[in-house]
Amino acid sequence: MGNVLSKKIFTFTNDSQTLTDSLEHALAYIREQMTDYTKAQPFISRLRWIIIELLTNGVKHSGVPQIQLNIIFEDNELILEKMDNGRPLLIAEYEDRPKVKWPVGLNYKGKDIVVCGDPLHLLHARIDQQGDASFFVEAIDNDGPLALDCVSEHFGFIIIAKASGSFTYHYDEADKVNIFRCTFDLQKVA
Amino acid sequence: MILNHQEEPNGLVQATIVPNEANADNAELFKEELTALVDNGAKNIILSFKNVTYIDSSFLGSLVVGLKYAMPRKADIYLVDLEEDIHDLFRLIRMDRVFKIYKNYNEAVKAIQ
Repeated sequence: MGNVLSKKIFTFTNDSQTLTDSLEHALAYIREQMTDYTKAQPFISRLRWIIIELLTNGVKHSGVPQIQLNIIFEDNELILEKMDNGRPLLIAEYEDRPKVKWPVGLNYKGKDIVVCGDPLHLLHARIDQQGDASFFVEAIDNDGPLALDCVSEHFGFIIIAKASGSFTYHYDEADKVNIFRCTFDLQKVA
Repeated sequence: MILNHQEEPNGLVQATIVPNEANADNAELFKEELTALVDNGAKNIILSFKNVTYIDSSFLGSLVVGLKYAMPRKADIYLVDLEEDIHDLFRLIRMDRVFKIYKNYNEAVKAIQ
């Protein structure tokens, strides 16, 4: 962890009707903190996609009325953290793998699982010994005709994982808090 | 209403997404309206994003469902007038491999012909 240069905590209503306002509040704060915003427009776009998906995910799955979004600027890093007290993450069955629910059992610790896949991508979760998941996307080389029937209709985690520098999930079992965390190396921002 | 549409000869339909925010709130209705165009005989649907300033994964999912519905029925969907930011999102998740994307209506019509 680096030095925290600034941090703002937003508490948002978990309601799709207020999602745009929540998004704009969060982005306004990020713009204030970024000194060279005009050059960083593609980066701001990525943040916009990620925040939309984090908030939408909360509306769809958390089952609680409020979520917290922390925006943290460290030395050379921006961190977005979405926290809620809702249902812990549940990864649906995929091929012969049964569903995976947090807190994960010992059998998943230290394992890399495929969350879902289609002819274009495989979404992986690497689960460490503490049970924290790190998501990443493997692009599948496929120049031939696509099997349209097999193309995924679910993009939320793929968008977040591909647009973030890193995308992780931690379940705080003691306080029953879900923490989704996206980090970005600000030195790589154009 | 999510889609404003105009029927042209030979099964060509020019449809425009009305809301600025293409999101989870209107994704289901969008899917219904898109599949209804196919049911009503549309063969080539040119879908304009000129009003859309942001799109989320739910709406993208409905778009894919619409294409999966259209293709076996010998219909196709062409996307036009995407803001650069939205086009970038399509590229990020490789949906530019799935959809035919053109700059504007005229370019899409030229490609269809």
